[in-house]
Amino acid sequence: MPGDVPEWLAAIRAENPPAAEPPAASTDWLSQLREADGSAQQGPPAGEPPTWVQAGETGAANGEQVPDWLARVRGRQAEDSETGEPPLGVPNLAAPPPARRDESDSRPLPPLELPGLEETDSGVFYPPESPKAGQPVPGAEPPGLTDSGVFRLKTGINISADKEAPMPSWLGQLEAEAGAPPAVPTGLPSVPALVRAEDLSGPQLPGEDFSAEALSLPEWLGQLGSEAAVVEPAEGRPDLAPATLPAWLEAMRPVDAFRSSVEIGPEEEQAVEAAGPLAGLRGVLLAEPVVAIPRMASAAPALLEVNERQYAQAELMHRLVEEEQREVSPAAPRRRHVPVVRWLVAAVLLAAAALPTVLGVPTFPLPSTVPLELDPLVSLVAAAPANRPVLVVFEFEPGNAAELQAVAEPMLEQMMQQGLAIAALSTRSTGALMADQQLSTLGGNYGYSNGQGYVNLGYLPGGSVGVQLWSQDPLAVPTSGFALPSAPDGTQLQSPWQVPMLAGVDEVADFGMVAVVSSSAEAARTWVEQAGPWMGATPLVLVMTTGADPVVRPYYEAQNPQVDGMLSSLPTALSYSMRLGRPGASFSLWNAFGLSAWAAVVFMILGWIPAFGVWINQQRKLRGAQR
Amino acid sequence: MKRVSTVLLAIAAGTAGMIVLLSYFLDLPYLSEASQWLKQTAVLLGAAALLVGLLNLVGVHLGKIGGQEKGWAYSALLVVMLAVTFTLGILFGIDNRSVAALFRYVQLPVESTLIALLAVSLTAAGYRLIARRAGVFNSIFMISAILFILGSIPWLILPGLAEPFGILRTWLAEVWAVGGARGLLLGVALGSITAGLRVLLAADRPYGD
Amino acid sequence: MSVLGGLGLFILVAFIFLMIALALVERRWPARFRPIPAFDALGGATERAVEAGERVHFSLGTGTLLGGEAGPALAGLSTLTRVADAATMSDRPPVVTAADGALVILAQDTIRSAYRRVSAIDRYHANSGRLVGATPLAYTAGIPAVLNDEDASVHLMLGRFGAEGALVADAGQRRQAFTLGGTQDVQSQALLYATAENPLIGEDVFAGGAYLNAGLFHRGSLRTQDLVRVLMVAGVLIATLLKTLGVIP
Repeated sequence: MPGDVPEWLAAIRAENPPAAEPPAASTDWLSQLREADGSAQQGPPAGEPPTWVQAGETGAANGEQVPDWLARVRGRQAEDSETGEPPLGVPNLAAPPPARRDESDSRPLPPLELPGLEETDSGVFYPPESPKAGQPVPGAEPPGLTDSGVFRLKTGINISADKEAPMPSWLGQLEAEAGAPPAVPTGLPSVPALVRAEDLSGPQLPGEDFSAEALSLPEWLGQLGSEAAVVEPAEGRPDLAPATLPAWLEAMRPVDAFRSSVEIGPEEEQAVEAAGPLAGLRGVLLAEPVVAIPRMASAAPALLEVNERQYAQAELMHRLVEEEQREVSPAAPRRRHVPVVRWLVAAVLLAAAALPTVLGVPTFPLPSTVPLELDPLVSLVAAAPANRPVLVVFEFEPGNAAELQAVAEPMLEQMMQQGLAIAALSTRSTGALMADQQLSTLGGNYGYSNGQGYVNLGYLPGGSVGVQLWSQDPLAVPTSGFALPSAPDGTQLQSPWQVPMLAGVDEVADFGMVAVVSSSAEAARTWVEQAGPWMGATPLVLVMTTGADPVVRPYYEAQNPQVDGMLSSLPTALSYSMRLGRPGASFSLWNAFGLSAWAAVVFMILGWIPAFGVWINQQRKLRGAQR
Repeated sequence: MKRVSTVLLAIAAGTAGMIVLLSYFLDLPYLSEASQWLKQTAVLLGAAALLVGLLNLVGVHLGKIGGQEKGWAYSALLVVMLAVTFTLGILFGIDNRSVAALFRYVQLPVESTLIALLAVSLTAAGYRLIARRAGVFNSIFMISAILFILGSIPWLILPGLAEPFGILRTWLAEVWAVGGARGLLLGVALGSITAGLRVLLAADRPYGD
Repeated sequence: MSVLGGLGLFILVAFIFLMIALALVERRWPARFRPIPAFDALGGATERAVEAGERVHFSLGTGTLLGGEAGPALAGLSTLTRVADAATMSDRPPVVTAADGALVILAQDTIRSAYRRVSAIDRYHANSGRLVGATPLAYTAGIPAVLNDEDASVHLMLGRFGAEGALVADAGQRRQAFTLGGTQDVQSQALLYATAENPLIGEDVFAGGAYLNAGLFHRGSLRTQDLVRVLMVAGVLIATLLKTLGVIP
């Protein structure tokens, strides 16, 4: 029976008889719990009922107008007390509290038994009529719009402006027990109140009205709050420091937030929480549907409170975004670097080249010394057989024509003076044109013409490979020739080898001499190395530019020379022309050549002046740093 | 398949190169004939490659003209002149008077101008070399160049110094320059040999993977 | 087979053997080569060009693949392989120019292979390799236009160049581009020394593959060059001594 002391508790009490005098009053909550324990008492504690209970009774007895919600709660409680079922989730405060468990007692606690509640395997208690997880609430209306236009969730909670929610039965029972000691249900352990009466007022937050009338709180909580609000806080009770929102959060807080009034329907219509730690309980706040409820925003927009700093930051952001969209004007073009030195050099060299040509001044003295290689060359050309043509290879580009035509001119003139037939060949695509130009110009002075005195074999393709192939068998490597003359009978010749002056020439060794006029050492070396083995006793002469002279000179100065004659540089050509007694192109270039070369030397020497200045500056800085 | 083609290419290149190379050392009839044939084929392929290069040149410049890229007008001029010269050469031969005139009055002056620019560029480069990078070796380089020029040119003032500088120039050219050039040529020859052997041994595949 | 032929064949076989052996040895005992400032700076310049979205211009010279001019051209192609590998991630791939059609085709193949290796073959364009001019001076005349139109900030010259190489290098210097020049012609090397910011002297042009880590074989072949050069120097000195002493007539 409820109220009967368990045997084990009675045994404990017998061993430890209660003290004769009640213990002194103490502020310790535990001692207060012992008072609330009421182990020596059965039924409600002795003494005056709490003031909040008296206030409720007094109010009702005095005929004061009871608030509607309180009336509803009391009504519900009355209904619940009739059914005899305890409120869901609320322990029976009037039930005798269990005895304090002795610490030395290692016996396990008895299993929790809640009358009227079914325990599942997972330890969750469900009321007998409550649906289990996932099962619909019996008697609950299906979700959808109600007749009043309020959206009803399947949980049974109706969102409406005003709807009187029925009071849960357990709350009614609570009210009933407040007036009279309620009957203790069988099997329910009594849990002492953890909250002292004087603490029921709760923290007071500034600026907020937490009365039950202002906030939409559950009835039971609201009842506690409103009744506890009249209780004066005890002295010495520390107040919690009110929370303060930071300014930025305060500013972001919507003033007129949308909110809805939530009325809790009757217990049997309330949904059972299906998941989470509160699964199986009724009347709990259902987090998911509350959050997920689509809400209509209030008519007034959210008003932000913006301070000066935030306004400045927003303005900055706005400007940044605008700048991104603004079209950037093209960057100013770099100041063009003026090559002053180059222009100065060009002007001076041009003047140096033009002055002797135009004005004839200055006049440089002719070379007085004769190069060592000149005499052997002159002798070599003079000894060339008259009945065998001479092969002259033109291995230079049109750009080098001015120099090399002047250097090769005296040798060609000597050949023409001796009446030697000249065959021209080139491995450059423009070489045939160069050869034709020079031979036709010079040959006019000696009665030479194309086919009569000289013949142009044309272009020999293939570079070094072509030279080697041609040297092995000239007739097997066909060359198209250049500006081939007509045959004596007027027919057009198809091959340069059909020209009578080349009759009897079947290989390179059949030529009286081979002269290579080249602007590069590579071309000269190619003829020396590829054609040389096929020349036999035919002498090989190289006519070079000054720059390539050191590279090929060893071929001439070797103990077993592969080159029999060399002619390089303008001074040597001038000496050659003086030997022949025929002033050629080298004479006209001599003065310009001398003055331009001096100008270039002076410029290069002048380069040491800024270098010296930089060095002085560096020394000065070093001395300054050392000081 | 790609791997097979790569291997085949490498084998073909190496075999052809080895045949030509060995023909210089071994006097075998078939080897010599094969070497001759390969060399003649190489010459023909070189000429064909020149045509391919010209097509590439035309394609690049036509692309510039079509895309109106920077300098497209010069590209148009190039294409027009190429077409004119090519047509004249095909129709009348390269020894025709018109082609000779193009050469004598266009190409010859342009290339002569470029060589003249070379003289200006080299003189300015010599000046900058000393003015901005006057180190020990750069100074030796420029001093050698100046002495060489002074030994090769006529002297208007103090003509008696022409002969000593001439002797100095001959000594520089035939001793120092020749010696250094020979050493460089030996190194270049070794480098050319190894570069060629790498291709023959397929360590270098310039014809693509 | 003549004596000279046999000697030549022996030297050839020895060369091949040394190259292979030293390439294998390289894996175990890697060689330490002297620093070449031009190649040291090349990597950084190429990376900067790739990051800045600028073009790398590679010139294979005015020579052909036939004859002695092929050596520096093949060396240039080896270096191009490495430069192309580095530049494939750039928005603007390298542009290679030459004055020979065969070299242009090989350059296109090299760049295409580089894109194929990174599975970006769709980014390859045939205009990456161009014939600028059929003659050396015509090529030289076209280079400034290529550098300006393509906005090249790296100007590499590795191939056969004559005296016109100085003008080609000067074109890069005027644009303040990173200019590297190497050729096999001694006369042109002197001109490049004065005009190029980073000249390659002697046979340094053939060392590009080894210095840019093109492979073990490149490093092995460079070691072979060094070894044979030492042997040749020793032979020349000994022969000179013997000749001076009259031992050799």
